Amino acid sequence: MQIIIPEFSRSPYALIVMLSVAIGYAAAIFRMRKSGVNKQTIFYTSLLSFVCTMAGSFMLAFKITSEGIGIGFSGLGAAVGMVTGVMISGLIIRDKPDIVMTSFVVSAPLMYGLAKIGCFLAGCCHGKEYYGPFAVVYSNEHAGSYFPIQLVDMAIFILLHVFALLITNKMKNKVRAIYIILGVMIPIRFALEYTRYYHDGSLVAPGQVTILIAGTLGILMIFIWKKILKISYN
Amino acid sequence: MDNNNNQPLVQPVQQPQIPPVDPQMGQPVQQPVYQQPVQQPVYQPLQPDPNQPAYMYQPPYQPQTQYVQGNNATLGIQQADLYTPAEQSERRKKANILCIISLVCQFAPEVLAGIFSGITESIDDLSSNSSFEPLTYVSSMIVFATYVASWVLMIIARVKYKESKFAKVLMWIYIGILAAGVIAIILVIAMCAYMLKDCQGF
Repeated sequence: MQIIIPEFSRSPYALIVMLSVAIGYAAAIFRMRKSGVNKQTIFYTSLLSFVCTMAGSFMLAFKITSEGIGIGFSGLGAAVGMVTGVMISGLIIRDKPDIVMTSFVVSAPLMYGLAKIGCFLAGCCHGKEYYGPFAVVYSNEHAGSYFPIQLVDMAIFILLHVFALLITNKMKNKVRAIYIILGVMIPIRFALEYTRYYHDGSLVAPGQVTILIAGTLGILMIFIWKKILKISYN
Repeated sequence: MDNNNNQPLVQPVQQPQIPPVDPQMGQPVQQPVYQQPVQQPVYQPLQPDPNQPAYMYQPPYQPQTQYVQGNNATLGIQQADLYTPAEQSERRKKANILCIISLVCQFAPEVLAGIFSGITESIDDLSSNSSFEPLTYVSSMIVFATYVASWVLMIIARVKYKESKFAKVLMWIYIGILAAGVIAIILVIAMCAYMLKDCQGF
């Protein structure tokens, strides 16, 4: 049984990514409101993190070269940008920064999981060649029959989102909950990289090194941020 | 209450022991006669009604004045009123400085991108190597860092000096430019996709 994806006249990828970002932000804003965070804080944090998300995603793919200026979109850059934006906002507006950070960290896997629907329909980030049941067949520039790894990605990250929700609700120490969520998310993302079509079969590919570096940097930055803000739980 | 003496439960009115003597007349001054002894209030111990909750007998709850919680962002108008005119002008100056630096940073990326492009192109002309890879990343980071810095400075101005009109106007200008930029990017991507879909072999 094959999943045949038709060729779209207008690729739905960009629209689906934007929708998933909007849904993720809505979930984070709802969670912050429920936790009693100030409306002004929510407004400025959302603005700044959105700007930093855009800057982060384009920055890693914006190259000023001698041939001209190249532009692209980087998912990892967007994640780093979002966390940086929330951190800066927490340093300026010190209103429940741990709850604000938790809300965004919890909604990040949701955004990623929903964005994978766009990948599934557009054909990017597809898996290795596969002709068994549930193979996904494209006829656009990614023409071929592949393992539906985008659906697996989506399911795993939505489960991660539910796990993150449960753990942040249960634990009083929100920063420790963030460490646990990142500690679970980074190895999973690392492992899923093995299934991509561009993975060269080596033990650690360059893309995986980037994930490890970005993940470790993220945890370190949250640790430093916690110290600066003197967040402590008794 | 049963009272055999038919007297009210009162404290007897204190009568002076020695009637004062009028010095002129030599006779005791007529004491005013009270038809009735002044009724003194009677206090009976309150018997708490077991059916009523105990707190009913306490004075009504006066909610404590709640000071404004939260951060500078909530203090808004009240913040301005707390300052003297001299302090207000000082704050306005600081807010204006922040806003001007923010405005410069908002439009600096275009200028910086142009400068860095020129530098990269001239280096490439001079040397026979292929493009300077680290320079492209550093220059793009500087470009985006200045853009993010403009937003950070604007938000600091909005939070610390909420009464500043310059900061408020600047915020809406930035939001407008960002929205226009996002729409422009979407249109460019859509246009490219539309133009290229008919191309063969793309």
